[in-house]
Amino acid sequence: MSAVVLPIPRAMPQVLTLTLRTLRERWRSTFGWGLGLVLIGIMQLAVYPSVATSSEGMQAFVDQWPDALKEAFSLDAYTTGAGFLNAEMFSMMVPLVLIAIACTGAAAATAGEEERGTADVLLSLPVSRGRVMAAKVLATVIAVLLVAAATLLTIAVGAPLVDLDVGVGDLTAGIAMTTLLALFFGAVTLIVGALTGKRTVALGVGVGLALAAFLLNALAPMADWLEPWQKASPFEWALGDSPLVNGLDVPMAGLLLALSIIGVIVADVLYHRHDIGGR
Amino acid sequence: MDGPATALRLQGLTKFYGSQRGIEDLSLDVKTGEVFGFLGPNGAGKTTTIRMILGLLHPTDGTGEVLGFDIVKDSVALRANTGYLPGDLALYDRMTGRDLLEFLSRMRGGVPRQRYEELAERLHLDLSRRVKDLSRGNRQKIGVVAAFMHSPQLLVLDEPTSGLDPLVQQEFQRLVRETVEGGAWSRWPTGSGSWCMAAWWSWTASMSCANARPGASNWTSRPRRRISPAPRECNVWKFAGPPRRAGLPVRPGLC
Repeated sequence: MSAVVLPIPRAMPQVLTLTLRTLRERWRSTFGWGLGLVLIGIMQLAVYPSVATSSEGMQAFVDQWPDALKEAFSLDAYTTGAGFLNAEMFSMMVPLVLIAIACTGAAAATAGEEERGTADVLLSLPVSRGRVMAAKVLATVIAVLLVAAATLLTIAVGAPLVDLDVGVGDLTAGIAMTTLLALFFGAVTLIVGALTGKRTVALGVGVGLALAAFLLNALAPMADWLEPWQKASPFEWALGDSPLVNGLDVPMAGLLLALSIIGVIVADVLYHRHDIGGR
Repeated sequence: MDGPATALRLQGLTKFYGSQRGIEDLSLDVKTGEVFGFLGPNGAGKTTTIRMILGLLHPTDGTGEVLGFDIVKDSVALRANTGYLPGDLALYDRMTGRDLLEFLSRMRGGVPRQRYEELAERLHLDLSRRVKDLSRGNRQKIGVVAAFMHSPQLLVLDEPTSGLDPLVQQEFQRLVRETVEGGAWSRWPTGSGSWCMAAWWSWTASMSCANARPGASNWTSRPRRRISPAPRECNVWKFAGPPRRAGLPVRPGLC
């Protein structure tokens, strides 16, 4: 009886193999979201010169709006470079697209495999659930970072061409805060996915909470009873200090990063305890 | 040679989940070099047992050991030495068979490409097509190749021949026979003829492919708590020794 016992494969090649496979699977949707965001960026940049040349009239028009509305749509400095980008890109489009990528990736990570039934094949391989979690998180973070980088590059290259005045450092800070915001909601989605094993539930909770936080942040200035609650919105944590003007809000960036990491750890613990459902 | 070592031992394994189905207090032993048929009506808990052995489900109670590895604590090492074919096989649809097997091989730390190519050829499986374009039978073949390709010491096969046509079923049975007897496969270095094998078939699959005839006296019934709609019996058949060409000698066991 000289049975040869096969060893547990090494961690790095295993995690990288699974990360690459996941990225390849998510490549099309990531590319689609990224392309959309880049095109919107180009379109907004193309519109900027006409906003800037009619800046007095435009600002006067915007100034007539109620304060609450102005604040809700980040219109307070609409005709400055940073103000314009804030209103047109960073108050809604960039965060929502990055959140969409993070949440779909996180929902597909464990719950998606389970729902499709492929978790049985994946988890019958000599790979621990911790490594699966690591690879899936890595793939999702890479996807979010790629789209964030493409958006940053588009605006950083395009802004000087249309005389849009925004510092590259501030722009990077804005993208960074938005990316952290997206990763935070991704972590929330990951937790629900690891707990329930249901992709749609995870996606619903993650995106639902993100939309609620978005609306809370946008509507709070308009209703007195809602205003104290604005502080509870992660959108306010990430973008409340106007990173496009004031640069990176280090404490808030640290908070979002820490919460995201804690979220991944919680998801990992839950995933280890989870019974993988049959189809 | 000493008596064959224990390949798989379950003791008092219990799983309750929800109010649906589960298993209670299941104990069994499978020796190396044995083909073990695990039979029961639908919902008896065959798949639940298998998925606990693979670490997909956590036992409510009881212990299990495969090749000396604890099914809970040493799950990853256990899986390195086990080939598993899920009963309800789902694969990554967009990959070709070859890409999929290459991925699985890398996740196992690298299986020589020649091995899965050879297995695919034996089963007449076209590896260049995408999984989603394959028929159910051909997908099942990919599952068979994936379960056998790394020359595992234990094979856990949940309804392995479902969807396979009779000719492929025969080839599959030859594959099992060779594996257990260390035949053609022993030239693969990790095999070294010390195979043990547990095959888990559903009632019908084993009836047709293993010629096992359950006698009334072997049929046990035991009350099971909290397992509402499921049938109240299950039956374990043990195919002692290497299966023979004419059919598999049957030693019934109980669960």
